Amino acid sequence: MRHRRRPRHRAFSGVTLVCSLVALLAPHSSLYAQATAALRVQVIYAANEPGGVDGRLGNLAAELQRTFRYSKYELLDSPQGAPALNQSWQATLPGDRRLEITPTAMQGGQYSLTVRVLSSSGQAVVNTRVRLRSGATVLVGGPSHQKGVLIIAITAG
Amino acid sequence: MAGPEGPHREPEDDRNLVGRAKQGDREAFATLVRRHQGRAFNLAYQMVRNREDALDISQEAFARAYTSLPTFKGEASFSTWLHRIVVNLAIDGLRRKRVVGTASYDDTRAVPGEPEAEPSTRDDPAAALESKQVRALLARGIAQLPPAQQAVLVLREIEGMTYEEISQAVGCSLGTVMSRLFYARRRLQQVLKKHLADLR
Amino acid sequence: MVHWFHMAMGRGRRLAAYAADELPAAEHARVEADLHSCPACRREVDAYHLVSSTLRTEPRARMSPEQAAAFLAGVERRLRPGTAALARPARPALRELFWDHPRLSLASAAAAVILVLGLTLVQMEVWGPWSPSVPNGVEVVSIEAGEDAPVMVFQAPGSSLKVIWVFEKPTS
Repeated sequence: MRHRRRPRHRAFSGVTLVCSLVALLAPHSSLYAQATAALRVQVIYAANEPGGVDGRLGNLAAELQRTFRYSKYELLDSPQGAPALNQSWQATLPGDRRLEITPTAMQGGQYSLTVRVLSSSGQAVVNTRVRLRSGATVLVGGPSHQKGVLIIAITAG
Repeated sequence: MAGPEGPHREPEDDRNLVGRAKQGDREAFATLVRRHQGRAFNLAYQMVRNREDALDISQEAFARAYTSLPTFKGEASFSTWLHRIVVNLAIDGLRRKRVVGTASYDDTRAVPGEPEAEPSTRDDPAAALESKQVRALLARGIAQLPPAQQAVLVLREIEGMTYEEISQAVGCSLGTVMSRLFYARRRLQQVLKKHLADLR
Repeated sequence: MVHWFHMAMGRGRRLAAYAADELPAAEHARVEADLHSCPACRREVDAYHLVSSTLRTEPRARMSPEQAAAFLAGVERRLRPGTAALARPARPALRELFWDHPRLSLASAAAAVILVLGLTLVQMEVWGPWSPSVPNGVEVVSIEAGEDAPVMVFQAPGSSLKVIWVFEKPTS
């Protein structure tokens, strides 16, 4: 008895599923809206030595001075990248180190990132998972450099 | 939720399932996994306060239990034995992180749709707020406990295990369990004593 | 007035045991009687009670239904390569399951529609899965430090920046 109804529900279900698939793959769908994470990194050398604050740091300079007590902040590098979801992006850091950032989720203007600082031997000095709103900045600091430390400012979006 | 008074008697089924699993019956072990996965996850979460890590730890615990089945003698229940593995993995994880100072682990939210913990405070916003503050204070306090103290506290106060079960779960003497529990409770009550004084 | 348990060894432990209801009956009654005239002791006991009552009503952490369903598979993946699957439940072929069960197929179709709708709403930021009130838009979800390199998370007063700081072992 049940079999007589089979063709009708099959047709309906089939059409609905196909339409859903098309909607999912359509260019406007959320899966495609944020395919990459725009990353901006500032690698900063901070130390207690003459030098003052590097003007290229812009608004970040004031925040750094509110957070730390170093007398010198120098922008060493400002790499940028746009890795896709679950793709790792790397930047070189002084002292043969590497910064590795992997976006693990991107949705609604928010980014989930795995951030690792790797030593010259490939060991992770720190391995952290953070969530950032678009435009927000997180700092990873502490690795030694010359007479001071490195501070890495990471902004996504 | 199991209360602190009742011992966790091993259901007859667990003993039989373990016996069959030791003989190579994989479906029996799969049944044990399904039966105990929720509790293992909750225990791991209460210790590490991170859902992804708790999932890692609880799955790893079952994998290790599976490979260690030949060594399981049955003196403790399977549940207690599994708890031991979960606790050890969680302690290892906590020690590895070696966070100094305050760590802002924000992943403390329950699964969406989780019912409110205290229905009696639902209509009393002030009481609900205070309850939230107390929980937040305790969560921070627990995170700052040494892992060994954290383990016994969670097993006693949250899992409701008896001292004997805890002793088997963490692999130390009864006296050590009671001592660690005392220090853990004392630390937390000192945190709350100040909070209570502020309210009065 | 000096109370007997202020002078006795292990006063703190005695109060803690009283609060946990772990004293023998006679001693429990003695402590209780003395608490009436010791407000400080009473406060200590109240705090112990609050710790226990709060922890015992702590909401249980639960896996999402998807995580729970995939848990066993996760355990299997961790076992040594070559270990056969823990269980292979008898399951009808997917095609048979779908096409011969009207309710299931209609429910699947409805679920697909809801999924697309949900994803679209998230994209439109109508509903987001994360807390809308993350201070300064930064959450540190987890940290793992390297060997001999403790890590600290902090935010200085007056600053909007959250900092993950690694205390590297000096090389010299």
